[in-house]
Amino acid sequence: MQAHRGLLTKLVRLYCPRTDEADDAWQEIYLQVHHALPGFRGDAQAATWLYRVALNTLLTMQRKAYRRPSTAPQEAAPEPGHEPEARQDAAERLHRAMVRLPEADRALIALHLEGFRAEEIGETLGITANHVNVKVHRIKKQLQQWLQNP
Amino acid sequence: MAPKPLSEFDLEAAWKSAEAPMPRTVRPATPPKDVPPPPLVRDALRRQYAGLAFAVAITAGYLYVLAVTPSWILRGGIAVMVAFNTAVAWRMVPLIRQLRAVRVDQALRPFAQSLLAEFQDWYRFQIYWAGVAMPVAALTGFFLGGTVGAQEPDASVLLLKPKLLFTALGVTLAIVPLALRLSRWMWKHSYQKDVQRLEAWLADLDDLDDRGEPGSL
Repeated sequence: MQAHRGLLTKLVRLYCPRTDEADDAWQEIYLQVHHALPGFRGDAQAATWLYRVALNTLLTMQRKAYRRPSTAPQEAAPEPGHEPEARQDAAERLHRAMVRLPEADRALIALHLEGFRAEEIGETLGITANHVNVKVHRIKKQLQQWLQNP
Repeated sequence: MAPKPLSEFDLEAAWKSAEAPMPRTVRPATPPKDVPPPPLVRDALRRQYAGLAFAVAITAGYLYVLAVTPSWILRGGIAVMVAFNTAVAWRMVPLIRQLRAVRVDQALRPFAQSLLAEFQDWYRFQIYWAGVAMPVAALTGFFLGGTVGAQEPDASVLLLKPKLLFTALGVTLAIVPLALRLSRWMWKHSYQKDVQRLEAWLADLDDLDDRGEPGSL
């Protein structure tokens, strides 16, 4: 889990903007990974298996926090006078745009941006690689649109 | 590969540069031996266990009344309710077993589909049985109330009063749609948000109008 901590943290943040929710999600993912570990037979890559467990856990959380994807994210706006650096600013803009996406699309694009192949993403989400490619293309187009015309 | 236009936002670079804050939670040194199922499954199981306990408690109450009441009409009504509760409990056991068997390490789509199927099964079960049980409970209650209220020794006396009997049947028939509505409302109140969420995820995953052919975009 340590090796995948970075992506897992980003994923959790995409679904749980509030810190207390994110902490709960982390704890829950850790427990579920531990719970499912005896069933891991090695027929899938460890990373694919791990993200399946993480995403399925995130899917079953947030009951009270559920809202339609079109709703604005509950992210705190940066305080005036504390401009983040350009790189972090870009990352923050991207994060905000990604939170506007439908929930399933967030996972898909996160895995893609992390460098997973379409086959691996398909294996994690249960859809075909072709399907992944089409969706990635579409999501990227949408993100570009939002990022260039916020 | 053609270079990207300068105005295009570099998604990959922005994603890689993101420094997500690490969680504050300190995980336990040794994980607990008995790990509960994922949150939504846990919640559904909790409700089903509560329903099971409720069905057992109610059945015990019915059996007590069955043992002490002399009225054959009430006994018949109560016997139907006992049979209903037994059927509920019997049907809940495989539902609970199926829910417990949902694997959290499946791919997302089959995982969401299996959870959704569980909830739909439960919905059908609850609605159909409510249509039978609630009117029978109402009729039984009507006879019980009528017998006690009229201070009659046996509910069969009520059968000799056609006006009363027709009123009881009318009330029972009126209760059927209300019972179905109530049942639907209870189910929606308990699970609608979760089901909507599962449906939304599945719809997002299935959202393709070109059958996965990237070239046709």
